Amino acid sequence: MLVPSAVAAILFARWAFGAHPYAPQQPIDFSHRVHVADDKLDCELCHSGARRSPVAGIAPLERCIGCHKYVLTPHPEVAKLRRMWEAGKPIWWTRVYTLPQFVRFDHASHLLAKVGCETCHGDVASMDRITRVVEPTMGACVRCHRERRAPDDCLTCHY
Amino acid sequence: MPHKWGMAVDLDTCTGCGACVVACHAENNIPTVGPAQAARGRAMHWLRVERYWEGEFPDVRLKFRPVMCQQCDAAPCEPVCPTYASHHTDEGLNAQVYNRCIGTRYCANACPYNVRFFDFFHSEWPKPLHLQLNPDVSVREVGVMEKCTFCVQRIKAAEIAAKAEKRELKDGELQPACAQSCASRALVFGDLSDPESAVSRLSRSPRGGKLLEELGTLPKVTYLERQTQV
Repeated sequence: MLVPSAVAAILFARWAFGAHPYAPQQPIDFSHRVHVADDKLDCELCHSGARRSPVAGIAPLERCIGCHKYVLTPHPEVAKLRRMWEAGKPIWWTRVYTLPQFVRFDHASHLLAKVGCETCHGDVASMDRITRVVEPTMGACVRCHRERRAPDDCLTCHY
Repeated sequence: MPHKWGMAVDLDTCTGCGACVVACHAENNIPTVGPAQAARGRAMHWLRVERYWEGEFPDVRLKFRPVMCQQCDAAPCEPVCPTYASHHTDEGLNAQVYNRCIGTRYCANACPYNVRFFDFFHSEWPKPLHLQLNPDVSVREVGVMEKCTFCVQRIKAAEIAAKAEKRELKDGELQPACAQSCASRALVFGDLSDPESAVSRLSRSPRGGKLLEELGTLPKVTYLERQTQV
């Protein structure tokens, strides 16, 4: 009795969580597809910390306005952006990829090892709203580290 | 050749000021437990300055000895851990993996140097001290064991920076917080696999000795005993 119900619970969990990957509503309906696929902008234009620091970072509102002062000003989402800029308020984006606090991840060293952004963040160029298509689990990390003969000692990430 | 991190402590220059202890607490997010719990032996100091009074008044001598994890090559804390939370890395570091630790405290009982500390409490930092936590180091949960790591976060950062510039690490390029803050440079950190590094040269000194060497733990911290008769 216990085993079938456990199997049912696992199947339900797969359906409930697997079918709908995490894609939270953001304060502004920013489309990565438009910026990356259509406008051919580089990831590092906005996530400029990725190559030189542990955190990729997110563009300050100033960088959005740098273009959108002139580009596509009548769009309602751009108008929302401009109102925030004029009020001097930052945008509180909802974080999509989170790691537990006992995990240390360094963006710079992964880019150095030629691990592309899409390895962990999926095909962002095809997403209107960012969706967590690759779950950032330890299994995924270790599998990739072993394939590439990267260090897989615990102390690589946990300290 | 893999690095082999080690330290040399010159007891002749150590003034016992305690700056290393403060730096260690700040760098590694080490909580304080208050006087009542400290009296019960639950104080957490990854690095402590031991104080020894010698002789009778007025002919007293005061000696100091900073004691941190000795990063033993044959560490007694490692084989007793049932979850491999305490293990040896390729670089000779005696690692403690917080998320593997289930808090049996066997390692602390096995350690002859008394440098492993158990998180008995949910660590809290009174405001605004919570803003000074180091983001490069985990804040340990209640119920896990913690200890000196030779500031592994600094080692990793320096290794990544050197790799980005396609060069080897230079001697003295990286220091743990204690060595960095030592005003009299009594603490010297470096790579023992490089015979020309400052720490290797000091470790070969005839004044050099290891703590509780007779136990066969093969510590990587060398103490240079006092030679001045003050």
